[in-house]
Amino acid sequence: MNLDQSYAVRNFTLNFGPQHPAAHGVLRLVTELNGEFVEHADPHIGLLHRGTEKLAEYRTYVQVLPYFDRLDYVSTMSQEHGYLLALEQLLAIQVPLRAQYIRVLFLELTRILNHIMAVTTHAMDVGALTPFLWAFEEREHLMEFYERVSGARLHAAYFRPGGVATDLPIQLLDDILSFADRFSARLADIEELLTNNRVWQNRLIDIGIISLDDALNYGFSGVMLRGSGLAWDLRKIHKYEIYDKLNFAVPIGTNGDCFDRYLIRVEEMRQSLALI
Amino acid sequence: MEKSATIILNSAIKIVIKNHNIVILYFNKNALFNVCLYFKKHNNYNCLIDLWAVNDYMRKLHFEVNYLLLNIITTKRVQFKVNLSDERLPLPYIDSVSSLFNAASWAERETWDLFGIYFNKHRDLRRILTDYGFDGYPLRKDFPIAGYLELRYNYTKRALTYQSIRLSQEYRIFNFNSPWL
Repeated sequence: MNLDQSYAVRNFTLNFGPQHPAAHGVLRLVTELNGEFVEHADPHIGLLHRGTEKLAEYRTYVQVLPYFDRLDYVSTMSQEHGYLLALEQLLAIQVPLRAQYIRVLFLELTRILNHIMAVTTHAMDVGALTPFLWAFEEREHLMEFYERVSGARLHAAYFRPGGVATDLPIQLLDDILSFADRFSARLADIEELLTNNRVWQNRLIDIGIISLDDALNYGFSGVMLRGSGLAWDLRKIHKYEIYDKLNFAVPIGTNGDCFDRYLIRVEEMRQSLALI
Repeated sequence: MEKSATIILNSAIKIVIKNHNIVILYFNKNALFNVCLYFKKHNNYNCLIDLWAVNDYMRKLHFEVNYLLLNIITTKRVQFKVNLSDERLPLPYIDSVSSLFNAASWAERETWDLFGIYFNKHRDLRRILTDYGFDGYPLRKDFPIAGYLELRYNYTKRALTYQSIRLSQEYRIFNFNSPWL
């Protein structure tokens, strides 16, 4: 190759998806690559759209509830709960105390369910399969708890306007307690594999840094906002259900990179276990 | 500061103070952009939580755009409502706030896609959720729930083809008292 000659260099445009194993669903990205760096990406997110709002127009408040499970199939009960909080505020419904405790219990179980999925599939995409296999065994136990209260492993429709569908079955609380004891050891196993792992650190530290201003400007919430260093947790700020009686810490990040967010997710699982 | 606050509040058509820390302000569509600018720059409402539209079921071309802003320091929320029901206009429009809030960019695309509300000065107002080449605005109340088209694999053409929808049974609605169905 003659190095004296100058070449016009153009970025490479690559289509990603809609069907791709790393997309975890149907997501299409039209990316513009400069070498290995993604300079620009245009996400086509509509392929997963289900028209829930349109369906809800034709249904009553109670009928529409199971659709909210389908919005996010890894944190089904949280989605139901978001809808129910709005509904109960609108209709001024008081939820009985026992139902509030049950709700919070299952919200925290759902949080663990969700964070397991987030952390371990992330690890799988980055190249570590083992945490995924270990954690999904535990996840199966969580979904068993779902099944025992509602009859369904994923789409529970357990929270209802004004409370929950049924009371807890016998023995469930004992089993949840023994799960909570066991799971913290399993969490330590996963952390041992990942947190100090050189490959994991190389691929996460200083990747995807989001400043706090950007995070607010884009309207982030949850772990994404806490990772950028703001202690924003709706459980603390708008104390719904019985969260004002509970004591828990809100972990925040300092750099706003992927590694911070991973650490926050792990710590939140520990906090949830303590709450349970 | 005090003076500009009075000007802003005077330009509001109606003010509703609800419980749970939410204040609802009704504005004219011409005033909205400056109101958002004021609330962002001078009142620390720098987080746009959501932007959505409502189609009134009684009147077909009656739209209302809602903005929900959050003050991250005081945890107060403020909601703006803008009425866009000018029957003379075929296409309701309003100024985009995506230059103030990045979060508005996709929310406005979604509102444009689903309700057909045009946002002036938006940099990239494409459809976001519906199919490529989709026609119509699905969340308007005159759009049927089953839609107009269906997609199937055509064995003779060996390709996916669109055809107008054929239901073996009409979509049944059992709510007879409802005026809009």
